Amino acid sequence: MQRPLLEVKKLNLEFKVFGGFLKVLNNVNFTVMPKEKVGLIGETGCGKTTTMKAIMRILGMTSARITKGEILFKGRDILKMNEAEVQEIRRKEISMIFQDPTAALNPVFTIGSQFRNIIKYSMLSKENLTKKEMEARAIEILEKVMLPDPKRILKSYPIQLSGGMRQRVCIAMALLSNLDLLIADEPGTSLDVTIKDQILHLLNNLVKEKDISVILISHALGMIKNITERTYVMYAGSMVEVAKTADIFNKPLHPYSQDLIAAVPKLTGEGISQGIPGHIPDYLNPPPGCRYHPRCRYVMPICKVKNPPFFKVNEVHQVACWLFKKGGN
Amino acid sequence: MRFIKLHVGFLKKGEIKLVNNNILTVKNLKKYFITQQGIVKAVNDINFSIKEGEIFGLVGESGSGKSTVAYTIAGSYQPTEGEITYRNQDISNESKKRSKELKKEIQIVFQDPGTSLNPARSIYQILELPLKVHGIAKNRKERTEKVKELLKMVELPEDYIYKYPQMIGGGERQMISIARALATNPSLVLLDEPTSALDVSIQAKIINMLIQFQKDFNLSYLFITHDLSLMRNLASSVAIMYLGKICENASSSEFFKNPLHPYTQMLLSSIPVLTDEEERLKPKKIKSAGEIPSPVNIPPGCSFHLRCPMKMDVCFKKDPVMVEVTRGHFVRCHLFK
Repeated sequence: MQRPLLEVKKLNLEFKVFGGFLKVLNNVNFTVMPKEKVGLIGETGCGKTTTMKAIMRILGMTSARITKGEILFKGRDILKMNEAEVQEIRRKEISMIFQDPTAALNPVFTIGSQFRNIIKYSMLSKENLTKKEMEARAIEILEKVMLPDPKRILKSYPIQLSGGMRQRVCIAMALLSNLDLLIADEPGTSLDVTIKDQILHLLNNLVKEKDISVILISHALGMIKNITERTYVMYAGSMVEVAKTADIFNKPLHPYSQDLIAAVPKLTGEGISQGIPGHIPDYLNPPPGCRYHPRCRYVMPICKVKNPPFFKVNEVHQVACWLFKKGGN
Repeated sequence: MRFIKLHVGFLKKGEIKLVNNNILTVKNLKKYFITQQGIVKAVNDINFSIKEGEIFGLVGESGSGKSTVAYTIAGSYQPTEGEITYRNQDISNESKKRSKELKKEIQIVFQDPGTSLNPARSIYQILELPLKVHGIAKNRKERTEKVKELLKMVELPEDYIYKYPQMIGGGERQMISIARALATNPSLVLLDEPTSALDVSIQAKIINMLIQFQKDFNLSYLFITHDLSLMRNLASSVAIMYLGKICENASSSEFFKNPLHPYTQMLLSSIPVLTDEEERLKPKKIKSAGEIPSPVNIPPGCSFHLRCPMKMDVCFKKDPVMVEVTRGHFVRCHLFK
C-alpha cells in the first residue's frame, strides 16, 4: 500500500484564553495520499484553518498548545522538528494560499521585491541568481497564472492590483518552488463569482499540470465538487465524515453533512432548507460525547456520553456517528 | 407576537390613489460621485419598479453600483438625476428632507452586522431607538415589552437585551439588524447582501425567517446579492447590474430559464453547483474572462464589450438601449433588436 504524504493522527489542540482552555481540535484524523486532491468543508469556527496552521506550524505557539497527537509528513513528525527543519519544509514542500490575498501580501513592498525575497530564501537560492534572472523567473510564473503585463505587476504595490489579481499573485508565489503539497484555504471566498470561477479554473489546471497533492478548504461546496477526489467534513474540531467527493454530495450519511449540504441554495429553486438549529458549541465547555448531539435530529442516549469513532461504510467512506455502528440501526 | 400593520400617517393624508400596484418606481436614476480621479458614475440611468409584496432581486459583482442604488433609495445619497417614487409620492430627495413617516416606511439592513450595530450600545438600546424616534411605544415599560417582542420574533432569547453586539455571533447580530429594521412596521425593506458574510446553515435560517416576515407583514423587499442560486429561491423578479447599468430585467422563472444577456450567461455558468440537475440548468459554458473595470473609466460603447464573448463592431461605439424581448423580459444588448 502507498504511504500517505501527510497523516494527522489524533490531533488535540487547545488555545489558552482568559478563564481556561478552548478545546478546539478534538482527535482530528486526516490523511492525504501523494498526488491526491482532498477537500475540507465545515462551518466557520469548526477548526479547518486551525488544523492547516498546525500542519504548517504557523499558529501563535504562545497561546496554542497541542496536547496530543502527531502530524506525519513523509513519515516524519512535524511537531517534533526544530524550527530550521520546519522552515525547510515550508520552503520546499508545503505551500499555503490564504483566504484574504490583501492580508497575505505585504503592503509596503512591491510585488517584485516580494517575489525576489521568496526566490532568494527558497531552494532557488543555491543557484545564486542575479536580480535580472530572478525577475525572469517571476515573470515566467506570473504568465502561468494568466496575469497580463507581468512587468508592470512586478513594479506595482499590492494596493494597485484588484482582488482577483492579488489572489493570482499569491497563487504564483505558492507555486514558485517544486512543492509536494498545496494548502488552499478558501482561495475564492472574498472574490466575485466570475473571478472565483477564473481562479478555480486556474488552480485546477496548475495543480493538474504540476501533479501535486492539494488540500482545498472552501465554503463554496460546488468548488470542492469540481476539484477534489475525497472530502472531509469537519464539525466543531472533529472530522465527522470522509468519503469520495461524489458520495459526500449525493448521499451524505452524517446528520451534520446532510444538514449542511441541504442548506446550500440550489439553482433549481425548490426552496431553502430550514438550516441547522442552534449554533456551534462553546469550545470552553464543549458538550460531552458527540459534539453535534445538541443539534442532531437523531440523537440517542449514547451520543451524549461517548464520542463516536469512525465507522466504515465502504473502502473510503467513514462516518463518525453512532447511527452507523455495525449491528445497530 | 404578530405586528398589526398601521399606515395611519399615510392613509390619512388622502394622497394614496393606487393607480398601479408598484410600491417603488425608479426612473432614469443617476448617481455620480466626484472624486480626485474623476467622476464615478456609480449608478447610470437605471429603471425598475417593485410591486407591492414582491421580493425584487438586484444582482451584480462588487463595484457594479447595487449598494449605491439601495443607499439612494434609503435617502443616504441625493440622486444626481432621476426620479424615485414611493407609492405615487416623489422621494428623490435626501433623507433629512424626508418626513418621519416616510423614514418609518423604508428601512434598510446592511451587509456587515459587525459594523452596522453600535458596539457601545446594548441590544436593548439598539432596538429601543427606532421605537423612541418614531414614537411607537410611549414609555419605558411599553418599549421594553416591544423590544422583547422583537427579540421573540427573531427567535432570540429575552435576556439578550443586556448583551452587546460583540458578545453574540454574526448570525445573531444580523437577526438584531433585521429586528431593528422591522421595529417601525415598514412596508419596504432594503436588504443589502444580508447573508453574504454568514455560513450557509445560518444563511438558510435567516432567509427562511425573512420569507416568513414578508408573508406575515406583507412586506416588499429589495434584495441585493451576488448569489444567483439564492436569488432563484427567493425573488420573484431579478435585475442584473453591470457598471451602474441594468443589463437584464425579468421575472425570476423567465430569467433562469432563458437568460439572454451574455453577462447573465457568464454569471450563471460560473456558479459552482452541486447536483447534475443544476448543471443541466446552466447555460452552456461561457468562459468568464476579465474583471469589472474601474467605474472611473467606463469603456465607450457597451460597457461590457471588454469581457463579452459575442462582441460585434457596433458594441465598441454605441451603448445599447433596453428592449423588451418578450413580455416583461428586458435586455440591454445589441444582439437583441
